Amino acid sequence: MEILKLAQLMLDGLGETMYMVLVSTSIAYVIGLPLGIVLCITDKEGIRPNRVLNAVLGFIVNMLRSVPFLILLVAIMPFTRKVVGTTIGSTATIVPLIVGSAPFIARMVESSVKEVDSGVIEAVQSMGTPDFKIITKVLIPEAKPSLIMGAAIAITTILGYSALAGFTGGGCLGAIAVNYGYYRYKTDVMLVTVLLLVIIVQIFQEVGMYITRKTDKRIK
Amino acid sequence: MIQLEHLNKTYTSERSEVEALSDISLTINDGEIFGIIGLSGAGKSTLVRCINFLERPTGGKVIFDGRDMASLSHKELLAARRQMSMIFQGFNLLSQRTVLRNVCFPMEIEKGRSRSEITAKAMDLLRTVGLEDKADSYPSQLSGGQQQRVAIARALATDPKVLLCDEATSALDPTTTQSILSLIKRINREMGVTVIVITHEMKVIEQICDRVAVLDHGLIAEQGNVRDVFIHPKTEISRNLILPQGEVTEFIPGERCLRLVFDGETLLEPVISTMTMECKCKVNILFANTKIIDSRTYGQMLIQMPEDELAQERIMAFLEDKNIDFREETADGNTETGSADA
Repeated sequence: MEILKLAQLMLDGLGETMYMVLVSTSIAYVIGLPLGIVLCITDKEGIRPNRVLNAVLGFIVNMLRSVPFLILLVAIMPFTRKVVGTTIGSTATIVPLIVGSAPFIARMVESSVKEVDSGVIEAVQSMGTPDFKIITKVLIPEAKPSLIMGAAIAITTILGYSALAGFTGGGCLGAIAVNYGYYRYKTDVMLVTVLLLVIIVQIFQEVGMYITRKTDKRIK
Repeated sequence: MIQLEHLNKTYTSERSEVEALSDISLTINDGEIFGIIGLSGAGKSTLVRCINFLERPTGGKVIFDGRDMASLSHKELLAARRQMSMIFQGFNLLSQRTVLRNVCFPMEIEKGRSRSEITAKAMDLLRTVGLEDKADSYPSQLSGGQQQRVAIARALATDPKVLLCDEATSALDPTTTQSILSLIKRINREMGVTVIVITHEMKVIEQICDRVAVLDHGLIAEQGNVRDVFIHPKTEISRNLILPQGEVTEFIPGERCLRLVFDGETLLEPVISTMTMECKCKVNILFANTKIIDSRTYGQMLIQMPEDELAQERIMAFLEDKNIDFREETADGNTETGSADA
């Protein structure tokens, strides 16, 4: 394969991958962030303990998380078709990516928010802070460095999931690795895509850590 | 102003019931500094959290400003809590906010206050606690004492009537403890804020409190003016708190020992030297824990008297003459009754 053609292929793959990963991560956070906070505050040690709600949400999250992504991808195809009208291509992969990663993100958010010092929460409660303000002005800002770190992990995990989208015909890097490298035995193409994926993961992780260090006011 | 009536708090788990507080009745007057002392596990922290309803008592009443806390709606309860601020052993500042923004926090959650007004007031409060130059620092950049000052400034931001101090100086070194206690006292005097101090250290009580309640296993063992409780502790637990075991050299059986109490009424003077010279006898100092604040002496001292009975008489007469409270202590820990108190 000509170098130019390969480069064009990779560039397209990179673009598709970024599109899929960033869109699905953003939407997954829109679902996962509130879900994680609700899981945290309804815990028996939380600010609004609610055993039933916590157990129900916890069960749904665990259930979705225990389904292997490839199975989920196939299993929710009817749902995907309803939402985006097709089951093939990058946009169609975004739906299972969201369904697969939102519960994971919810757990990450839950554990980050739980790290907030209970003494600090008690202190703001002693000032008569309403629960909603505790969430927006204390829990999220205090957990921010940990949340950002979690986002870096989430985004790299979703990147890993997105590679599987190759099986459903997304044009991402993962698909290129599968289609050219695996089906057509073009090892060189496969190696290049894998290398690209490694580089992307490194960048996301490093950027995440950098922002965490910059925002955290505890270590100075 | 704050009245606790037959307060109970029982923690129920599936297997057992733990009675953390039982039948606590106290009245805390406007403008006083009230101390609650007890060993760890006595229920002090639970008691203070029952006052602002961070913990709901399982029985009895908390009356604040003439209103039963239990009868308040959620909104009213939040408003009542703003009237009684709290400071903690662990300071509990928001770690991702600057010092200034920490002090702003309680005002930010009030409706209809402008940013500039809030900031101006927060700066004022930082000036009150002497930390205006640290406004833009983060809590992790401050020492423990400075963090507690920020916590105090933050607690004052809602113009509270009451300040609840939960072991506020227990994590601090003696010098810093001193400065925080003086600050609390100053706030009490200048702003008229009623203060409730929870501690396990008698020296905190003797330095700033007017009245004290001794808490033991969820019960009030005794309460009264600090001076009275200090000089005539009625219960074993109070005696233990006043003369902590392990800090005092063992009593030598058969020897008479006196515990001298300096409650700030005594002016700075070399009492023991004068005594030994005037009484022409020697005494052995077994234990001493005194502090000079504003050239007044606070604390206590345990002395062993000479065997000569006449000398003993002279010593006691001298102490009475100098108006120093004293109390005879014996080996088994019981104070002997009938000794002459000044």
